[in-house]
Amino acid sequence: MADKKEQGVRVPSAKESKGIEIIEFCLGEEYYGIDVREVREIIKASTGIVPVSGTHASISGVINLRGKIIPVINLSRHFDVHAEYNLKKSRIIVSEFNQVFVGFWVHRVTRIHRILESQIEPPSDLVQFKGGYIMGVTRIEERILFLLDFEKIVSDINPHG
Amino acid sequence: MERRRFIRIQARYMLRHEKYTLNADQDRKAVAGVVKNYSGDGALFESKTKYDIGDILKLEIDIPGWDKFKTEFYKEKRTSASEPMVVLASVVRVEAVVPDDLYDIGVFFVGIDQGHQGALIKQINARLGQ
Repeated sequence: MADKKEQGVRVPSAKESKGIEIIEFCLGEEYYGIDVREVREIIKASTGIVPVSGTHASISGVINLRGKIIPVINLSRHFDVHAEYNLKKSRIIVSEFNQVFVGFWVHRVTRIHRILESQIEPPSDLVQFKGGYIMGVTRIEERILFLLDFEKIVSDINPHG
Repeated sequence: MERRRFIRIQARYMLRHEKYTLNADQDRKAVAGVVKNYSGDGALFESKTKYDIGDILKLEIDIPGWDKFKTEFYKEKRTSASEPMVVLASVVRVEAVVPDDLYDIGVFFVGIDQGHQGALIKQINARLGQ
């Protein structure tokens, strides 16, 4: 078999060939993704979010997860997506940053995809309209997924940590 | 009219209580109190702090043996010592026991882990069955 390089076919580097797993979720009609390594667990929103006063407008409240009180960011509100949450279908994605747990309330968690890093494109200026939270863009089946930077969202909402 | 969904039992257990805020105030610490009775979704405790109806409190209640009824598979940083049960509760009743000094605070659990609530109910049933 002829060598691919001799044929002028670009061979992905070892890094680019590396697979990562992305959890796909929805906000309204848009699809987003988050690296599974950033996710501690996913729970039902029917767990019960307790409203707390005096918080950032993007924080719906807190949940009690096995004795840990975790703030819940309303991603739909944060991104100004005008769609109602369905308590049965919506989920809270729990992440941990520097030993601090934060929940992200999304409309639906759909599935997990395994993709290559080479399939992720940097966001163009046209795409980067979500406050700079989009780390990359990928196409899966016929959908476009915006890969989000959860840590930046937390940092913007609570800059003092 | 008070409507209780769960059986309430009399018991005197220690707890720590504080008004809950998302941004922890470094100068404010939880203070000690005594539970007088509790159920799967509420409690009455003695407090030197007077709260207002509607306040959201964070409670850490030392209920002996409650956690042996937990059915969690995932145990994180678990020790053999019994841990206090952590709940968020809304104040529904305030009565002065000793004016300006001691109050009975009635609360409804608004933020309780479902698994922990199940364990609490089992603990209460076990106590009633003794």
